[in-house]
Amino acid sequence: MLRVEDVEVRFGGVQALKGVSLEVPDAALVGLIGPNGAGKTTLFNVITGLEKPNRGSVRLGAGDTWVDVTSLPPHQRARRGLGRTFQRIEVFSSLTVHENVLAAAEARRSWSRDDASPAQTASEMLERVGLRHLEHERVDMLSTGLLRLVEVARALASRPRLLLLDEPGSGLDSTESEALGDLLVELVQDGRSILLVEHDVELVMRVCHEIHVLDFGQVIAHGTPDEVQRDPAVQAAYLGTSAA
Amino acid sequence: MTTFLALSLTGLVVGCIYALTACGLVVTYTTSGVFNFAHGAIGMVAAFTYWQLSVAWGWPAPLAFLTVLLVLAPLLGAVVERVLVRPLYGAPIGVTLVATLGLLVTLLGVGFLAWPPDTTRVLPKFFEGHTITVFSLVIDYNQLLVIVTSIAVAVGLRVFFSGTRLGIAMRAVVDDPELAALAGTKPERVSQLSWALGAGLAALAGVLLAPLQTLNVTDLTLLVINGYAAAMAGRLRNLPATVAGALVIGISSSLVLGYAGPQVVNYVRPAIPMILLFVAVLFLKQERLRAGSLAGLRMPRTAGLRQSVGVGLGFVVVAGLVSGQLSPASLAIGGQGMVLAFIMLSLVLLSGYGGQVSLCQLTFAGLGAYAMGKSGGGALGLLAAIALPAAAGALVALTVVRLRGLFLALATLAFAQAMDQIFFNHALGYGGTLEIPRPRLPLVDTGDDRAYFVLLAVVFALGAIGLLTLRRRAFGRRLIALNDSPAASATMGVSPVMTRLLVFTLASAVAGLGGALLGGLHGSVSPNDFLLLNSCVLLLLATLGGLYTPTGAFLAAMSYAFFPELQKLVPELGQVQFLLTGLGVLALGRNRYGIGGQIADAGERLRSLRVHQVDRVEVARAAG
Amino acid sequence: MTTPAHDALELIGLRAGYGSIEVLHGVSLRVPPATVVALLGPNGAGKSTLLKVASGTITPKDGCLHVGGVHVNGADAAALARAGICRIPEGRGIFPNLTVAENLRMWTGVGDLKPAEVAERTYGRFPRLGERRKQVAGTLSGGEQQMLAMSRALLVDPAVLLLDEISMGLAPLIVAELYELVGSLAQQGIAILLVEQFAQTALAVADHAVILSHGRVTRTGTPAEVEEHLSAAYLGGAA
Repeated sequence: MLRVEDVEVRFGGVQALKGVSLEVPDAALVGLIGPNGAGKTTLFNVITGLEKPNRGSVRLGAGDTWVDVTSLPPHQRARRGLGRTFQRIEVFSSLTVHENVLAAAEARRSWSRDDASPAQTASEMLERVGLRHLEHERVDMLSTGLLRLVEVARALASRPRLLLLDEPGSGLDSTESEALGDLLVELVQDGRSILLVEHDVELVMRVCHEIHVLDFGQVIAHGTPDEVQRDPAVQAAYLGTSAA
Repeated sequence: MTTFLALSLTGLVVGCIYALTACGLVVTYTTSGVFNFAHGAIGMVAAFTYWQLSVAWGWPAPLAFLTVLLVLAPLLGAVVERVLVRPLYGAPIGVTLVATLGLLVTLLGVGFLAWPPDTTRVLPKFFEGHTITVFSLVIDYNQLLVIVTSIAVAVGLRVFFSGTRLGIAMRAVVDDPELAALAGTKPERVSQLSWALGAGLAALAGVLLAPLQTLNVTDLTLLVINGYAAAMAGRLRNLPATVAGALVIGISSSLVLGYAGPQVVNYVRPAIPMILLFVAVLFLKQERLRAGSLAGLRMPRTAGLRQSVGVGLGFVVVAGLVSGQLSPASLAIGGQGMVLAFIMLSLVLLSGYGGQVSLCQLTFAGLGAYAMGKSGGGALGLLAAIALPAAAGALVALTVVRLRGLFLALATLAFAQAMDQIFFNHALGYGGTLEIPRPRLPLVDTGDDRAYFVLLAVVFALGAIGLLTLRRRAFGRRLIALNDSPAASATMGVSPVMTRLLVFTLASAVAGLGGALLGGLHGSVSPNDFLLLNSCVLLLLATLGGLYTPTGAFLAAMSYAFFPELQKLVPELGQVQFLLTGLGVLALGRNRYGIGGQIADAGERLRSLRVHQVDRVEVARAAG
Repeated sequence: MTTPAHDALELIGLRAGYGSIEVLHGVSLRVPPATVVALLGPNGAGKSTLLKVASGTITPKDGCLHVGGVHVNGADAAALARAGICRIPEGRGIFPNLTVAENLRMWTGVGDLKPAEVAERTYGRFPRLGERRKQVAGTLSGGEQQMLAMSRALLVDPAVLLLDEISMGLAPLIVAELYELVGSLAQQGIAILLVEQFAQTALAVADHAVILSHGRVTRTGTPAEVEEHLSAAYLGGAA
């Protein structure tokens, strides 16, 4: 579904990503974890086109047909099946919950041949994330945890084949976060791929098929949840070695 | 050779003055994040004050000079920062822009009141009569003074910004105001200081420029607009590039004036700074997609179709009834308000929903009138009045569409000013007029003033209903979404460029149609109808009325149209008009949604009151 | 050292947040002089918010903020900086478009150090900054930027030092160097409140530890006492 190859990003003197490569297979739930400042959100921005890499490529596709999207603007990548949520929340704050999701469904109708009713799609997606009862609220009345779910519903309304989720679980309590985990599993069973950045390690370990660990802008480990959990390098990076 | 040198010298002197202005703009903009459209107006007021002190009251010139530059102007800048700018930090660009436009209008008013244009005022040159000759070139002391002062200011700013704690603190606040506060610097104090410094530089430019021409309120205010172009050359940040840009503008304008034929001089020279501004804006780096903010606009509730049609019908009926009671003069004024309200609808669409600021809506209105007049009216004329501005709008949008906020405003300003200078004066003739026929309709005699008035009411009502319908539908949501978070919009497949192009084109078409109807109302148009300054006032009023509702647009346009009439009855009102504008702008700091927003709020409160009452009744029933 | 009459920093029942969203729901916390307190907890617990309240960037809605025993609710960031609070913000607490020397000049806004003294204190501690004094700070490496940010603590002699994730994105060697400095600053009598996601790094230098979770203090104690509960609060059941 997604191939990222040798991506490098520099901000001034700071190297945010140093030769990152990773792959998201079809219908897979892939986790991306690492300490704060490791470069996870920057990688998301590179994949969705909000950030230009200094080097490297991003490709979308399946089987033998892969398209290099490195030079495409964000909206064209979205039309090729890429959807995302944001760590720093990016809801449409002047609109209601329902309108937020509706806008995405309507946008999809303007560029795809899908003629499902946008209003219906919006309600359906809000139902899926469990926010149907709040659909007439203005979004700036909601807690940050719920806003993240609005973003998930909005991303789903564009019916992406690959969904990038940036900390969807932060701000949720344990019941809500469990429900989120179940939703992610369902979404993948429907055939979507998901790349998940999440700090709730428990959630990541429970639902992901494979995990990449990013530290100092580099992938330092990759494997199944078990493998990653046992990796001493990951323990060191994630918990911090005793420096003093 | 001598001619060349002499022309270059004149240009250099003017360029130095532009440089002073532009540096002042850059200093305030970088430190406070607010672009001061009233920068030139401050220079104008300073020049007149200097005239007042030195010529009218006979103070010694050096004393007057220093009082204006070191006391009055910085004080004005500091007060403006405290009263007008500080409540607006963090406000959307549209609001801060309108606030300084309001200051511009207010200062213009002060200028006209304090120094009525009926007397000619001349400032003597500094050191009149003294000259030195270098090779064959005669340089007078006034020119020398300008050049030496500019060099001193440039060196002074350089030392100030990299050598003093205060100067470094100003740059630090630009980088990160929160961190500056953590390091013990008060960001508000620093930005107040930058306004004082900026006003001082504006005053210096004004006082130095004034002796080179007769004192004229409007000219002095607008001439300093040339500084905008220079400031853009330095991307509103870089002072050396700003100075270089100013010198290029000054010298090239002077050379064109000296060498080119009168044709070019009349049409092209006044537009040079604007063309350069346009070009500078175009070469700006593509901005990254802006992240949204969590605090949404509290837009008034959008009326449903049934409600808006009902109100629209009522509006037309009332207009029909009222029109029977109006004198011909009042009909004309009311009609003008109606058309302006229609043109303002294009601003509600573009700025209110779309978040894009345009200072050239009347330019498109002018193009509409032009198309209507040249095509001889009729259905074809109306079509042309929509198509020509729409095409022009699309062309402008294509070049400026990647710009946002302030840079878009500056680009539209440049376009409007250049069109004023090059196109309208040429196409309509200096002070000349172009006859505009009224559209013809079956069954209705549009030649009758009352019928035409009602027709305008119908057009406005239809426009308002259409606008509200658009707001409720997918396109309206897309516009607001794009304004709220461009990044999120793009990642759901919305093309920001196409959307902005579309809305800009649509708004231009609306303004164009309005222009044609306006021309029809009076029977003719002149270049003065579509001046840049009027476009600014239109945006200002639309914002005061509330950029988010047709009601706000209507009220703003009507008060604009009728104010001169009230003034005739109560002459003192003329003095209040500018004050009112100023007060209105100050109020924006507290309520950003204008009068229309207030009305909608009141409606909302009434509704909730009613709901509560119903609740209470039901509770009482249940209890009983 | 005699026991001081007051804690350098004391928070009592503090409530604060952003707009209508409350992040801290009544937090109490004490930081005595010459003590390092580690503030730990999962992302979104409100640790950075707490530091912002303590430094005056955010005004608390309820509760008390005491600095050196004085009630300072409502004082702004610049005023608290003068009162001896020094917060090094998350990310790089530097002005990226100013040179190294100009950044240092900003740091001395509170005190009135002579240039020679500034140079001695900073470049003496971090010679690499001395070599790059004319360089624009944004082009320094991550470690150098953090050293520059930390040099503020060296120059202003604060009573309270608030550190927000100073190790973020830095190599272990540099982190060790920065924490050595933290230790020596505490020895000079400075009260230090430290937010750190590398729990073990922080606990190694801390005298006392506090776990913050969902805007409430859920545990306090010595590093050893807190460490047992750490994995549950911090990483979920995974570690």
